[in-house]
Amino acid sequence: MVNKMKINIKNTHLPFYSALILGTLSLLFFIGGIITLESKTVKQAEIYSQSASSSKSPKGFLDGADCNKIAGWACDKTGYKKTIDVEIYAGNQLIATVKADKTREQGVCDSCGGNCNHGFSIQTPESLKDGGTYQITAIGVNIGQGNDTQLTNTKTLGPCGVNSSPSPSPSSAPVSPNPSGLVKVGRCYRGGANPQKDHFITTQGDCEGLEGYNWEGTLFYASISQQTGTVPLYRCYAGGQVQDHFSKTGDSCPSPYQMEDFVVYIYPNQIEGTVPLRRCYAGGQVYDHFNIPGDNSCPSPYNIEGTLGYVYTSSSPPPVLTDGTYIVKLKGPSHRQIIFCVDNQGKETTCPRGTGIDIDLDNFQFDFSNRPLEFGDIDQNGSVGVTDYSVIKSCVEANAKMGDQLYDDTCHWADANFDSVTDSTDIDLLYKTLSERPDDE
Amino acid sequence: MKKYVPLVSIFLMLGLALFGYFIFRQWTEKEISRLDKEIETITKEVEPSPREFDLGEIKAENNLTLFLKTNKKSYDQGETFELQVLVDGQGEEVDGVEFVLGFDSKIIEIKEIKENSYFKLYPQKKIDLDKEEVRVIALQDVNKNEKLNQEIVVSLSVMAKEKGSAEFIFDEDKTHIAGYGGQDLLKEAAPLTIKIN
Repeated sequence: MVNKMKINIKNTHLPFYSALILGTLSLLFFIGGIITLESKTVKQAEIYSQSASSSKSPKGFLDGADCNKIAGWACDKTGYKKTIDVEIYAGNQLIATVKADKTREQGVCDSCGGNCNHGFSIQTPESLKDGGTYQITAIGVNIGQGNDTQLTNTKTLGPCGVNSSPSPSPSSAPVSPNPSGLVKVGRCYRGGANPQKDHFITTQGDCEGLEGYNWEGTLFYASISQQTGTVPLYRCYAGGQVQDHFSKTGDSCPSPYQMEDFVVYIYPNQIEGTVPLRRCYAGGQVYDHFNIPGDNSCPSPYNIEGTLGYVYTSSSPPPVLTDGTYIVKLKGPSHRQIIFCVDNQGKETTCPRGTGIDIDLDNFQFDFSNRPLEFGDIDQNGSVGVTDYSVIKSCVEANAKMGDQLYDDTCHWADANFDSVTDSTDIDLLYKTLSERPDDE
Repeated sequence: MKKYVPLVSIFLMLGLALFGYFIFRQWTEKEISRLDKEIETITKEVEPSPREFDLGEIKAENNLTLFLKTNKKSYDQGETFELQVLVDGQGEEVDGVEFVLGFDSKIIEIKEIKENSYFKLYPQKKIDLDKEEVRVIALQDVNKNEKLNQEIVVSLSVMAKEKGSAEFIFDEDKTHIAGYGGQDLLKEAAPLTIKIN
């Protein structure tokens, strides 16, 4: 019976079932093909899109935003030589569009393909000095391929300007952070009988243009952008018969003082390389406050009122590292530099410059044994040769050293042993590379 | 006739599916290929570009030449002769010369590289038999800035091994004349052919 039925199906319905099966299969085949290829295309397009946008869009950093200025840097990967616009926002409100064309330090140059003119800075608009706080962001306006991109870092601005003192407005003289991001903070002094006598601290070497005040010198170094674990240091002022400045953390000032300005960020707790920042006070006929760093005692008739926080006394403090990608340059025992670029790099390979290495802060140790050290391709033309020698020779002849325009612009590339001067040692090191391995790069 | 209708329908659907599939595949492959190329371009663009220096020096024309000279145009098999590598400095200050000179090791043998007195430092002076090339780097003393006219960089002691044409050709990518703060002043590195009888 079963066999008979099978025969019947085979004989009578074969074309129909075959058509149904094959038709279904071909339809599935068609749809499957489309889905596979479409997904591949979409995936590829996503890779392309990510590569293109990350490789071509602007990049940069918002360094700081205080009551005086908002500053940072930005460049576009489409063309590092081109100047781009930066839009600065307070919250969602566009407050300014500025060209990023100011000369910046070497770190910025390195990030912008060797072009240093990518800084931007504006005076903080008066509209933001209303006592409020604002979230400041900056957008790099794209040129060519890519998209407009928010620059790394956001800043909280303010409060600024509320209950401002009758003192003249702070000067807008530029504050130039050094490569470590610290600015100098100095003390200004106005002599005379009470109530004229006064001190205040500022980042502006011209004492913010205030009449009668003279710069006493640099007291300490601190950042104008908030670092992890820092708090803002403010300046309070009382006019009239008091005419006195004093500084404090916390954004309120005791009567009759009124908030005048933000100064810098300081550490509330001591970290490596910092010293206490103290406030001295003399009452009575003197009635004056001033700040003093370190463990120094206050000169008579002043007495220590307390410690405000902790600050650096050097512009190059020990680095405070956080997790991230760093470019590591190391000075070897024979004064040759090495740059590792990848994790678990083979001992036989050196890596191209400009690439980062992930450092795990819990275990950032390297095994240097048999690692190749290299120095030489100063002009970055792909090989170590006589043109590199010629660059060093010119730098040595010019006695280029740190602080010189020539060194800062060019000859730091020729400073093989990072001793801040180009000299015969650098020649020797290049000679060594030329003797041993000129073909390696 | 009627019984063939389903069969024809099958083939029609199959044909349609295959046609659609291949058309779509062709289009997507083309698009993927285009995107691949763009990604490759982007990757290449992040490679470091040569630095340009301004060391306050006078910019010179890159019109200096490197050339080869022997005292005869042909030599007999077994004969040893001197091949001079010269730089025509045209009165410029030359900080250094480097070159890679290829030769045919079946025809000739380079026995020695002799230094000359003008250049004081020779960090590289190598005969590579495997690559069939001579590599020389000659540097002027760091404390000197002598003007250079026509000078011998090195003299090669060459032995004629086999009959034929001995061609000496510079690798121009690895041949440079440096002066004035890293400028490459080389215009031409001229080859030479010697006949071995």
